[in-house]
Amino acid sequence: MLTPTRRQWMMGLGLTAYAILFAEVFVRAFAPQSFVPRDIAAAPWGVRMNRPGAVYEQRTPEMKSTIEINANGLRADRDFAVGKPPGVRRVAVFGDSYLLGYEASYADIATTRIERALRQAKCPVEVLNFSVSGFGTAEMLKTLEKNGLRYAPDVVLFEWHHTDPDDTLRANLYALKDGDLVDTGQSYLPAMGARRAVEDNFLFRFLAGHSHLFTIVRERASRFVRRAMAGHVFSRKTTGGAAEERAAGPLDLAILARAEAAAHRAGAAFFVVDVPSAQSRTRFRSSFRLLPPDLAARPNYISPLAAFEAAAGPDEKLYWEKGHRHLTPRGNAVLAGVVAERLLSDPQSYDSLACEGAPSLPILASRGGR
Amino acid sequence: MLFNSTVFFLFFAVFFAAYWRLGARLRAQNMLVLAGSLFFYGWWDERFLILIAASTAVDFVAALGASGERIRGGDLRKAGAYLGIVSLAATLPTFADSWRWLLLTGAIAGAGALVAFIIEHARGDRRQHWLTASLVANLGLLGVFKYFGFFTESFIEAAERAGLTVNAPMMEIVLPIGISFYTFQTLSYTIDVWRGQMHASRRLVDFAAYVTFFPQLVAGPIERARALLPQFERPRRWSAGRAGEGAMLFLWGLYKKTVIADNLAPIVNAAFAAPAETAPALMLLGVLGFAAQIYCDFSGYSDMARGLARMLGFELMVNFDLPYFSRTPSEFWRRWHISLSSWLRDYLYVPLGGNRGGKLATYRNLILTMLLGGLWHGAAWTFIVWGAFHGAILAVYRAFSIDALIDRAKGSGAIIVHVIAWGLMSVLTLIGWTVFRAATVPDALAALHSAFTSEAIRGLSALPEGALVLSLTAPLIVANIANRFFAQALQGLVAEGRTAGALPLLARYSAVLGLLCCVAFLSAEGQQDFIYFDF
Repeated sequence: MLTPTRRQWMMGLGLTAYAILFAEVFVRAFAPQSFVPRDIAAAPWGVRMNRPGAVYEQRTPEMKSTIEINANGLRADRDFAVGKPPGVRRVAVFGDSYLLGYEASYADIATTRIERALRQAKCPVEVLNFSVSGFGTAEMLKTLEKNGLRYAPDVVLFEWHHTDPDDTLRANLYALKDGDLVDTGQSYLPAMGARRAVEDNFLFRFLAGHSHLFTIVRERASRFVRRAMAGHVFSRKTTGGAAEERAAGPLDLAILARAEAAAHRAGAAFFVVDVPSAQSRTRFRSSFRLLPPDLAARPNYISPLAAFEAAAGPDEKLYWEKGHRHLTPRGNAVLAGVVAERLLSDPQSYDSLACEGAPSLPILASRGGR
Repeated sequence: MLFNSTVFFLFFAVFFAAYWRLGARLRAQNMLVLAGSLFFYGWWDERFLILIAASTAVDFVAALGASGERIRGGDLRKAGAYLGIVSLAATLPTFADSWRWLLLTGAIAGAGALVAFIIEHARGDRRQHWLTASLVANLGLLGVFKYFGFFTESFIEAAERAGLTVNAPMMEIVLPIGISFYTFQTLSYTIDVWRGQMHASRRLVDFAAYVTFFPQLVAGPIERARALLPQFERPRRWSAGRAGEGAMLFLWGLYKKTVIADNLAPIVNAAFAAPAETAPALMLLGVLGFAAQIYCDFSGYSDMARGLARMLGFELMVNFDLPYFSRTPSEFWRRWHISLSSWLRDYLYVPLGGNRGGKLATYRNLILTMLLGGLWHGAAWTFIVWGAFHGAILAVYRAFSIDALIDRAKGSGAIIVHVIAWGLMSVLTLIGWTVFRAATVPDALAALHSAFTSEAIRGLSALPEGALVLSLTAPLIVANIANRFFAQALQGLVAEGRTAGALPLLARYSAVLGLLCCVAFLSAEGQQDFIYFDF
């Protein structure tokens, strides 16, 4: 015979279990989720990196792909020696999940396509993709200085995305002191310990892989934490969400300048590539809008906006529309095409990459003018 | 602080706990309501606290005068102290930037004291003088902060068209949120006191809490003092049942706002961004979407306000009563934004003469009332045209006694008459919303020209966005139809004890869970302002 207290407890537990089941069915029916996990680890230099050797699957109603991370912690189908093999030139790419190529197969991602295009132009190149999901420019710079330069790149490619100013602020890896960029001495490994602990847990892994309710709650919670850390949650502005974005400030510009200087000191050409955001299938906004116009107009700042607009159409998706809305294979191809074309038409990168194909007209023109 | 923001949930959780922790200590509860409301309002911009405090102080004193009582020194000191304390609190956080606002406070207090002295020593009807002072102060506040820029710009534009060059003063004045709502609320209090319909309050805290009551401060309902002020003077006791009802009402409002209105916003915004270039079917969808959006946005806010108030032991008026089932313009205005339309009726239409001065005077009064009602919504020609349009159709319906004709319809033909009347009124409502939503009058004309065509109707079914609009609004349409046509049957069930309350626990629990899931998982991304915050 149950006591009233015990009956109440049983009732409470029953109703809670029912609520969870109800919500799971509701989310599956009306807001089906995508499963876009990531597998990251703490790098010795105090920021995140892809867990070496990680293999995981991403699936959404629109796509399915496998992410394979090599022993260097880079997305590649092979490992790289730290020392550069003779005759080989390297392009080191630093970005977030867009350039890491989430929601796309290895053969389809932008970095693979850039490598292919450069090799077709007879450049003896290997592309090293140091991108990590969630990275902002501060973490990219830290990774470049502490790890990327060890691989002796000939070209350094930094991604610029409209979320970077927020990411940089949140990371707190650098600060400006009397106008100079200084390391704060801090590391930025957000909830890495806790993350590792839960990710090692069977129940967590099961829920993360199968429960739509768990996935949506986790996504919302992490978005909330990100917004809170960027100071948006308690903002006194009445509107929120996507409208609240921060333009690049002196800190962001100093980070970009230091990355460029570091690349040049190491003898590498430096480029910044814009990843636009999609407003609709046919309308895009350049992330360079957050940069000073004179900086964004520099020749080493590459925006694929015009190419995106030219390639777009009502029946052509450059970004996925479900899941995490990364680039589709077509979107990756357009981005890669623009970047490869720029690298092949820029005299400095063309020479740095020791390309043997016929130089492009801009290069010939620049040489003729010398 | 938006009702649909994290910061508001945190604020309300703390406030709610503290409020009921005070138990039946009425004065302490009212003090807490006042402090909480000022914090809530000051979250947007603390400087505007000075304006609302000034409006409160002016009407506290003016209403005492308008009631015929002598203004005591203590009343003036109370009002002055309130204004001073709020102003100090408003300027202290950013004193270096905002200390000048204290000069404004000083000027208001000085002018108020001078006016009080003059009126108290003036000859003639003191009550009338105090009413005039309140009208001048409140309408002056509204005029400066809401309409100064609009009228100056319109004047310059008109002069330039006439070939004149005018150097009029231009000021960039920020519209204080909710100013139209609280100004009308304080005005109606003083007028009611002057009319002898209620007593003036000598309890400043109660009166200030009534003016600033945060659930309805920034977007109504515009509560009459007769209805709300006495609730501040009665003890309020905790009731889990009432709190639960309030929470459900809040949740229902939140659903309408975040799931329906906010998800419709992108479609509507896209259609109205450049009406001349928008495809006809998309324009029509935008118009239909806006009709649903503005209803869900505003009635959602009203439901949330009523829900919050009920959780605190207050009862606010119903502001919307299924307006889209209206068959005539007068019925529409008895169902849409009821607190404003009844305000306009009682304090504008009736004083203008109402329907007592013959047909032409009645039409004039209707048009003038609605014109000013349109202007109340915002300083723009589109609102004026929208108001004039509603005034005109009210006058036309009245001229042809259409309301009476519809009511007289009997037998099987009555249904057809009602359906035709409803259809016509729906089209008129949509035409009105098109003007209301457009950025400019030329945009409104372009939108009307595009949306109300056979091409637009033909293309509507082929639009992929149409399915989204339908899926978003379908639950609301079903709920409204049930409420409109089966309310009596539901009330019968209530009388027989077979109510929703008697439904199995699991069914009730599932209904609440469903609503919670909708809000949690189907809400639009990011917080959107309430449309009526701009008014």
